[in-house]
Amino acid sequence: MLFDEATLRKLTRLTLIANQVRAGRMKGERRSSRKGASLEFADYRDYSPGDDLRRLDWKAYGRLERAFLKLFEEEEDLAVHILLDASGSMDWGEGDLHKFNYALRITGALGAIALAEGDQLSVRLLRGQGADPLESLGPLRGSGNTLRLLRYLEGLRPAGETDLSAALRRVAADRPRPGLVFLISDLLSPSSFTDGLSAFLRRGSEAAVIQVLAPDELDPPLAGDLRLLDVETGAFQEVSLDSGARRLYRQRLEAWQAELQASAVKYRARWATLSTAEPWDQVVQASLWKAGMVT
Amino acid sequence: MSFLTPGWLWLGLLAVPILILYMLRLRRREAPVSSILLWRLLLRDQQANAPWQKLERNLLLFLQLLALTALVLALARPAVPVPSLVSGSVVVILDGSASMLAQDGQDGETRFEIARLAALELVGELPASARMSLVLAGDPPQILAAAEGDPARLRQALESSRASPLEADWPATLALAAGAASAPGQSEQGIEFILISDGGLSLAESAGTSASSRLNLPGRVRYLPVGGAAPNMAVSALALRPADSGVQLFAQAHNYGPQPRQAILAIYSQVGEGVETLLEARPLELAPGSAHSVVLEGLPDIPARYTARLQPSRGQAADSFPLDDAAYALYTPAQTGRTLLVTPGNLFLEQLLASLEGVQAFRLNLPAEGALELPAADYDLYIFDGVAPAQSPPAPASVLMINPPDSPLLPVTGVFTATQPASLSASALLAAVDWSNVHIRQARQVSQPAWLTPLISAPGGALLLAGEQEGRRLAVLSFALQDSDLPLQTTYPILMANLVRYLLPASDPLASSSAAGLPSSVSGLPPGFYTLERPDLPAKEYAVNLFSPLESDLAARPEIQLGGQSIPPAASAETGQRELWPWLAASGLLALLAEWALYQSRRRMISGWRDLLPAWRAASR
Repeated sequence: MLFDEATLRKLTRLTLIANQVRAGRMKGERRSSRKGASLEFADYRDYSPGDDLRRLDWKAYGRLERAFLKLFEEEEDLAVHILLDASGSMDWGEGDLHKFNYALRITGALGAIALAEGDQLSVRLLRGQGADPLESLGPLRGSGNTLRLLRYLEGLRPAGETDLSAALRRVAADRPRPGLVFLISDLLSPSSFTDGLSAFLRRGSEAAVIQVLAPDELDPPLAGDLRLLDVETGAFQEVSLDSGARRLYRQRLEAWQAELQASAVKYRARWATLSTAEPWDQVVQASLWKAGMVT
Repeated sequence: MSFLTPGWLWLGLLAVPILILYMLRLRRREAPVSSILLWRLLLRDQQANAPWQKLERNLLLFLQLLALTALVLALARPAVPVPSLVSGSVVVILDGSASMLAQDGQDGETRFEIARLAALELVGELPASARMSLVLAGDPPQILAAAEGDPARLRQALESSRASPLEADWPATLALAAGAASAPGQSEQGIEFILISDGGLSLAESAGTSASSRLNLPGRVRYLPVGGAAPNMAVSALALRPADSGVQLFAQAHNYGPQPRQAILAIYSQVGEGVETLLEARPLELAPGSAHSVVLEGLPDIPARYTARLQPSRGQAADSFPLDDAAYALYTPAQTGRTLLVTPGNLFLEQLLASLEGVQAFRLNLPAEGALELPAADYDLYIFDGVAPAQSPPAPASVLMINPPDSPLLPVTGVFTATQPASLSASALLAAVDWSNVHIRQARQVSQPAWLTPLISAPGGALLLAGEQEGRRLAVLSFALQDSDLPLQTTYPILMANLVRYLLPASDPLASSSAAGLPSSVSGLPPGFYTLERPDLPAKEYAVNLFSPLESDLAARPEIQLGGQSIPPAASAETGQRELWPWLAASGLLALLAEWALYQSRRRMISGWRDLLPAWRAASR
């Protein structure tokens, strides 16, 4: 299991934050401005043929002999799309520091929160030039699907080369229901993720980008004359590393992350950078909370 | 520029294996990373500094090639042509005589310092395969370095050399230089002699064999003159003698310079440890090459030190050679030497001793039987004529033995008659002695201990011996005066007076006014008064003076005469070669050191990171 019962219970107390509430097709636990069938009474209207007779106010009909239909404030559900980068570069790190395992836990946590909220959850794997239809789960609704979600995630393995922008556009081309889009990736892709993400945003979705990096990507313990092998693409790069080159690498990494964050902010997407050295459950409750993704 | 051993340049091909090894070594270690995206971004940034970055990356290779180039070039011995006096093996004769202490350099340095610098320059120009011998002209001369090829040792020898305030013994110096030319390792073929001197060579004084045959050098001689025409006045004489009117002092000042000079000749006396008293201060004005004498009469007949000093007149600068500006003399009144004559009867001796000044003679009659017993009274001189005492007379009394019988004091092995022809040594004891007409019937064969020097030798044995042992002076005439015609010769009183003066030094008023008698181990002292103290002898005072017209005459000698030839100053007509290999070798070693240090620092850095990685990972978990 990705995480235990106690962690699951803690997670289900959280709620995913979506600033703009989207109309849902199903009842969820989110209060909506639309009137519908829920427990909280809102108003009456005249019965019209085809209305659900269960919602007829029989008491009013007995008194007034007119058929009124009870109207309740409708609680809408949220479409939550988790786009998980399953490229080869995510297969990096040892044990708890492994990036994909870490990303799976974050995905599981966010998914569990969404299911517990009654939101509509779908998980799509980003791999290759697009999203493989077989590599997706959902849409699911209801906390009863949490176990299914976790089992699905446990069976996933990262592999292959991914063009992140192309993969995002491909998923957006399926016209998924507008909602909350989580992109969980190391973003180590030659193409910018913003092109693909903007395709979601244009359709009314709201985005959050979670970058996952391993500690030895933040400060690589490398030195000497090296031939670096890219585990995702199989490409090589020859470098001669000394303390000066390592310092330059750290500076370049920080500049690159700043550029990515600036791009995300430009599209009003929330941003979080996670190191796999940080305990993942605390990350969900602290880092993602701080980034305004959960509450 | 040329290469003396160009064959070594082939070693430059070692650059090829270095390059191959570098390329092999640069086979990079493969390291998997999650993505090379960021590394490519990093390299793109580094392109801005590409030339320096490339150089830094290849710095080790660059340093290795630099070291190889420098070392190979050093082995090939590149050399640039320079004008030089030295083109092969050479013997350098450095004048270390007193005149070389003249301070007439531009910055007040002495001629010897200038000569030493010239010799150091010659060392720098010495070709690598050549050898140099260094001879310091002095009294005695010294070999500073013999057939030495190491410039460092030659420089060290030169740095430790000093000029002495004496005349140089040039015949001995030239003989030593000729010997150095045939030293092991010094090829005599084409050897050159370079004489660095102010030209004041006392070659004419050499006596005996002809100067031109003795004073020659087996090779080409070149002369490097130092010094110029410097003004110099000197006290050229200072002496005292007893006279009827008291003690008489004679002093002389000499102007050796090319210009007229004025000075004050001041004469001082000092009695015991008392203060110095000015006796006379006479202003002198001396034309070039002229001298002026001062005679003081009626000085007290007591032991005293006398000093004559030349002081420049007002407005005149001191000359550049202060060594001869003062002279020193000691006066000791003649003392009567108590002399005991032990003889069966010798009129020649008795009359002679009675006539010698400063001798108070006593005669001891020989006992008819039994051993000879010496009287208890102290005598300064014992003369044994045909007899020998059972015991040595008490020291330090001197002894003159004439026709000695065999005794423990002086063993005699026999008698010889081969007394002609006799050869005389160059001793002061034989001054003015003419032995050519002396005939001797027979003489005794005296065994000669090492300290006893034969002064007159005949084919059969020594006729006259003299020496000093443990403070006692001993002279031996190995024949009876009656067996010769010596007492009938005019040379007899001269010889006997010389012997008595030698055996009774206190009786000679002039003996202590010079450095004569100072042991050779303390030679080279600057002029002044000196007291010689030895545990076995009473302390004795000496006056040391330069009194050398040759050294005081500082005039430049444009050329010198040697071996019957006139030798002009040498010019740097030869073309020498200055080798550059020491600089190249040093550069190569520096490059190797830098390469090693850089390699070590990189290695430490890499191993440090590798050690840190597991700990850092553990901490991250």
